[in-house]
Amino acid sequence: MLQHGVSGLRVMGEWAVEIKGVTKRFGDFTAVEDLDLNLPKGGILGFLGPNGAGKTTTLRLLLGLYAPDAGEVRVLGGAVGTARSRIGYLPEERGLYHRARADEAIAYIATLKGVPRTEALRRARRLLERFGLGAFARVRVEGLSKGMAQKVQLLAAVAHDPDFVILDEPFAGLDPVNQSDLQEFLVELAHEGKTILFSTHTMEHAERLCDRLVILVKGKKRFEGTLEEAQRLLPRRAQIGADADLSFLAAVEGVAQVTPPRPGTSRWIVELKEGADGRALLKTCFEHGVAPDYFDLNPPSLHDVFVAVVERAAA
Amino acid sequence: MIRRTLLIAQQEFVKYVTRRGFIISLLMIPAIMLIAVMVPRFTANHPRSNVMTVVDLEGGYAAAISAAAARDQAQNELSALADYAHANVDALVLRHKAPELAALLAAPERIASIQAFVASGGWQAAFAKLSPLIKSGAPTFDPPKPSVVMVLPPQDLTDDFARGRGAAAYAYLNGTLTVTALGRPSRLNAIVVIPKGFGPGTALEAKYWSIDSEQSMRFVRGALTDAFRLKVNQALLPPEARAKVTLDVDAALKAVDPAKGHELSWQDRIAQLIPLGLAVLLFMVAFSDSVLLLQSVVEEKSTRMIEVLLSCATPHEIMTGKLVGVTGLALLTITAWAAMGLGLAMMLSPDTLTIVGAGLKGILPLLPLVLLYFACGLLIYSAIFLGIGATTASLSDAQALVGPASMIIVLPMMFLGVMIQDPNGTLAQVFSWIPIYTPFFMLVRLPFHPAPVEIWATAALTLATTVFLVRQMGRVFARNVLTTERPPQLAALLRQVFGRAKTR
Repeated sequence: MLQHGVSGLRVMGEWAVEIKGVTKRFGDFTAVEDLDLNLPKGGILGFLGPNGAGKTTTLRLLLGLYAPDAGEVRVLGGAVGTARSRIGYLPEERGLYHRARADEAIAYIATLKGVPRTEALRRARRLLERFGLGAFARVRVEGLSKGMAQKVQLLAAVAHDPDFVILDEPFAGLDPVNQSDLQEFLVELAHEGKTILFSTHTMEHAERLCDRLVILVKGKKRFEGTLEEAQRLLPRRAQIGADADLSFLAAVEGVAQVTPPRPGTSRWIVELKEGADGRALLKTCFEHGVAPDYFDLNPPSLHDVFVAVVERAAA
Repeated sequence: MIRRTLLIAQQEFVKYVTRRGFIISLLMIPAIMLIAVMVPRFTANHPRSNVMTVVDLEGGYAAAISAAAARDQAQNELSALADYAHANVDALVLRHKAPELAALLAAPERIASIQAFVASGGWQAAFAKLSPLIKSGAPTFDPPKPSVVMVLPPQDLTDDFARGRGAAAYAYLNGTLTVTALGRPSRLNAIVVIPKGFGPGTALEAKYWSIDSEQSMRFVRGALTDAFRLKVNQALLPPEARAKVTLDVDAALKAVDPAKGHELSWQDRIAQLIPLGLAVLLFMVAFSDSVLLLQSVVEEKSTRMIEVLLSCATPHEIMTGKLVGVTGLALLTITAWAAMGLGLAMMLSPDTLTIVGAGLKGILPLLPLVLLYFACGLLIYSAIFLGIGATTASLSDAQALVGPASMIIVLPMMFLGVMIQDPNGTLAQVFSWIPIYTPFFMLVRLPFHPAPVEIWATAALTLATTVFLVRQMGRVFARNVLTTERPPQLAALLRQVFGRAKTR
């Protein structure tokens, strides 16, 4: 996990977002159901969920684009709408005027958020310079690569120096280099004390960046907490690679279950009970004259947790 | 290869033919074409009778105009009866049974025929002779309405003109005061004023007061000229030469602007053209700019730029901003076109600037109203297109709604010819009260001085319609601008416009 140490910037008792019992329906379809969510100020929050989980609807509720059918939404301590100028927003696709020049596209949004025009243009050019796009300041958005345009869009979302930044799928369509740049930028923003909420399908980004995670499935919150808390949703397990029969490990104290390798593989999976010492597995293997060629005691990945949460919700 | 081509053809055909817009256009275009053809035809077949009075301060000319009107009417009746007989009576039978009538009907345009027709009792007597010969199943004969109905001038009007004023005339012409014509109250369509001393050889001019087209003016001028010639003929020529000689003496008749009380100058006529030009420009600009507006909204929806905007401003702020922007664009377009047109005209004629300047001076008193109707018209059409843009997720979806909407909006252009001929006629009056058409019709009619109550009431109607539509389309915009689904059904859309449906 990328270390950025922003947790300490949170001010206890102050919430960036307070969602209480919010429901949003579109005709017969319930997009968000009885959602409760409190997000502390500062830090990065990952908003995860499969397609149609209600992520975008929730983001739009936070932006005041939708009014809830039930419940209450408060942002930065006030009603939605009062904090409009303190929020930055990056939609999933390129929310830019294609014929606008890069610096003007950024400055336009900042101006709408209340920054004087001259200052907005100055900030836009400074940000473009900082992100290596200084030479493209006067280039039309339609002439930029997808990665550049995505950066410009992101800069447009933050040029007015918002306290709360909402990013909908910010990594979608970016190559690994641009993804890395974007991650660094988000960490910088978090260091500056801003609250960042982003939705994503890509678990690696959430895993690397987020202080807190929320998983939505079918409009309902299924998990909220830190990455470690998420990982504890699944039993700890060890993966041991060996050509020998390792079923003897079932007798080791703290082992819950031993699963043999799938056909064509040599990885045994051993599920451990809470508090069990995984190192005992390795020791027992050697005691039985088996020298494993692979041993992994890492906690479950967020991907595994996510899949498990979604499957449980579906069940 | 042919199979693939046919598959693609089938896909394309089904894709378009099942679109709501295609089906609506399919039915609507013939309906609109029918209206466009039938309405002018109906008005041509049912011309309005111009109610006219003559304030004859000299004497003798009112009778001459009345006689000319009666003669014209007799000619119209004889022509109509000739057409009727041609269609419904066997010509051989007619010639055999009623040879004198057959001779009249064979040459209805001849003066001798008309005189004989009148002398024998007019259309009623002729029809009585014709009746036994009419084929069975033939329709009844409907004599044409008189094109001019002469009435005696009201005393206050005569007194007014006798005192050298004309203040009462406008009230009679715009319907504030009425006369009785054909048994019912009616406004005067024209007042002919013959000044004291008017006659051949004098410099005096008769005046024609009207807020309608000048169609009847030609008739009056002809009647007065005939009266002049008769007088001169009788005075100068011996009786045996009178029938052979026609003296070239013309009566002077000048049109008067009733609202201003003075002769209609060329400047006034230019001033009449400016709002007409603006009305036509209103459509051109409204369509070109509104379509740009619609495209921009659809693009903003598809790129989700609209979400960014909505995170910065309220839907009403966005919509109002867009409407103000497009109004500015329209003004720029008109200014540019006007400047280019003026430049071109100045290259062709150095007097252009003087003419246009005079026209603008003439329109100055009406300028606030002209601007009001123009701005409201632009806002109404822009709001409609903006609403369409908000309800659609793609340009092709938008196109399906734009077609029918454009056809409804553009309908008045089809009546432009009728309007110019009769700016205060029934058609113009009726359409002036249909809110989405009010700006166009009133722009065209304003220089022709419709009744003040009509002007102010339609101005209020236009303003109210604009406020209502902008407000309600703001609601449609707010409710639909984030949807990426199919456009709402027409009934749902109308509920959103006219109902109290909640926002997103």
